[in-house]
Amino acid sequence: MSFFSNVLFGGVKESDDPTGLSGNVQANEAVNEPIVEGVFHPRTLYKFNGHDDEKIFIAVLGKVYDCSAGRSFYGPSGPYSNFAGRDASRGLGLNSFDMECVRDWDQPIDDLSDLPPKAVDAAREWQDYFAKKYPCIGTLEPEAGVNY
Amino acid sequence: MSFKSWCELIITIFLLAWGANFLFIKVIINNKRDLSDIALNEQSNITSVRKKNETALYRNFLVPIGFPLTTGLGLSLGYKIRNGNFMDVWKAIMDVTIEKNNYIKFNNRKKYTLSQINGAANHIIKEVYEKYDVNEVGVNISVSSFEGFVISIASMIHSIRNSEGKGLMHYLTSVPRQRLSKVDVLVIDSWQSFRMLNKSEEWYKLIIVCDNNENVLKPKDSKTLKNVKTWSEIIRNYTEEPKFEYDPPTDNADELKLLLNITTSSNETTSFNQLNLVSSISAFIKTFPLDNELSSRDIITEICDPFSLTKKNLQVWSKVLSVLLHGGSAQFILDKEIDLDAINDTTLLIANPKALSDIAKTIKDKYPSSSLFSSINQSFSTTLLSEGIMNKLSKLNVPQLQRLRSIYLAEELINETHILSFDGKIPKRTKGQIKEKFTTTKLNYFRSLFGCRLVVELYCPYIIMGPISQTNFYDYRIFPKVVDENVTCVGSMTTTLEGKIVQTEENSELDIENRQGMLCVRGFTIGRPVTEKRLQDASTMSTNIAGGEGWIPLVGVFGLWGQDGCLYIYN
Repeated sequence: MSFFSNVLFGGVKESDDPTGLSGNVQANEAVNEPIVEGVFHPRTLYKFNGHDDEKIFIAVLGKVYDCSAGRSFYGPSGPYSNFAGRDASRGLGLNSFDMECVRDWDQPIDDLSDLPPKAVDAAREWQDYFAKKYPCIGTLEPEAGVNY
Repeated sequence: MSFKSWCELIITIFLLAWGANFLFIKVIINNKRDLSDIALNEQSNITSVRKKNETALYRNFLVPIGFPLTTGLGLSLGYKIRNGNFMDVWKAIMDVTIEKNNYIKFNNRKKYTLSQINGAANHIIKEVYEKYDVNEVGVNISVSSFEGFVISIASMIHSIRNSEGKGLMHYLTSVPRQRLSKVDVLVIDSWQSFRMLNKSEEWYKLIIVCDNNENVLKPKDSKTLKNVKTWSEIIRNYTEEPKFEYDPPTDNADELKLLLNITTSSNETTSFNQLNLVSSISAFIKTFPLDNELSSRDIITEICDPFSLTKKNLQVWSKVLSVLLHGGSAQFILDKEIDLDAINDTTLLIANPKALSDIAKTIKDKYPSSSLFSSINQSFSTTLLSEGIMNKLSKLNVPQLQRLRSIYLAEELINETHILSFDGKIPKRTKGQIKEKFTTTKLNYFRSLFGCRLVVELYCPYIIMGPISQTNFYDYRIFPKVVDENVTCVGSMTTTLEGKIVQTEENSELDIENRQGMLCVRGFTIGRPVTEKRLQDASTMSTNIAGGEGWIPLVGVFGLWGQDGCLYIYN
């Protein structure tokens, strides 16, 4: 009866409290909460693959970039979806999208020591490209007991 | 009737009423809403990550993350895109005016065509700027007067045309007590102000007194008046000029040329460039939704507070030039002179909270309505508004306001001295960050009374051209009492700025996890401190408080981001 009772008794419809000052928190708050920039481990990075989490984070040479804006490339069904939520340094350096070029989260972080200098340079160029296009949101570091 | 029949009847009535209410809300009201609840709850684009001790970045929903903010007018010149400058805007205005014959009415109630204003500005350029080789013109009069408007237009034209940027406008909030090195022409409003110069008249090549009356305060000594001219002496013999010629450059070379300087009463100077102006104009034009765009039928009226006339000089331009660009007209009224005839035919009204209250009171006094029918209408109207439906059910039949379609309520931050000092000292949060505020219920009362939209805008005087943020054209929400008591909703960021909130040690009760703290802004309408020291201080403060990268902390401005993406300023 809310509408008719408001008309009859001069009331109005109150909207939800968007500020949280009344103590009522909207249900979607936790879902939309932004991630704090900082240190990522392969395990914590993995979920940001555009599928398990809407956001898409990609690591290149130890830096993590928020590539959510490039969802059509890096998101599920995109041509570079293998890189989402992972360290893409080797794949970018070798210009390969094969699954062999990305490591699982429980493997040691790839130090690229077996790559030729040309491939490492190519990875660096990609890193420059990512740095210009996407915000850098943290670093990728190994997790004790998992990656070393 | 048996007891069972009574029960059946009551249940039937209840079900019918419940069903009707359900259908009414779910079908009719949902289809009639100006904006869906989803859109009202998603008014900003928010970055997915944030730094520690900061919130995410918030932008207007029209500017997605990863895309540029509104930057200039986006004019096409062949295959190139230019941001434009004042000359582009003025040429377009003069081209439009030939057909539309629009006008500006100044605070003396006199109406001038744009051809007259253009002619007067060109006359001033010849008679003052070229003759005296002016570096900077100190303007201590309001843009809401014919003299102030014309001198501003003349400065804007001349400073772009002149390769060295001579003739720059310098708005002064008071008659200078210290010599401003580049200001060599001073424009003041009266002989009374002239007396206050107190021998500083020797600092200037020319002093223009915009007081055409023979006044007892006018000095009799011709020696004192050797570098003094009255406005009427200078403007004499000006002619109408309907045409304005400008050949735009092929690049954006002119966009970083200075537009104006503005000095506060505490002698802090900030400069604004052409890009600031065109970005501000562009952002204002973008605020109008589809089917409500600016047009040549618009008349914008600004109600000016006589006690802060020169303070407002910076904020006048974006809205007035936007309306003139579309072939509309503009008028300025002093708030002590408000009567309904003065705002006749207005479609867009800019007012501060006091002026708006005064107009509402005038209307209620002149058109009293205490019948039961009008009370029911008022109740129905505000209920519909709170449901998100614009209506004119309780709009009073005031002939002068029939064309009014939107009111801009200008809320101004009052602690600008903290922001402008750049000393890096963060104050404790105190009550009263904005002058006056209305509850959301009161805002809907104004909407129902005037039968038009009402947009709340947040201004930061002297440092940002145009508003920081504005509420959505279609946002008529009523917030719970606790929200109205503690904060004021000032909408989402304007499309030419982005914002974030940072945590401060001095106000640890504001929790950054709940998006509370001190406001920082970045974008294309922010002015630049003029002296080297202030510039250095601003840069240091930006790095220390907001992490650098072009962010300007609005020191002492505390608020929070709502779940709806809107900015809420603490009361």
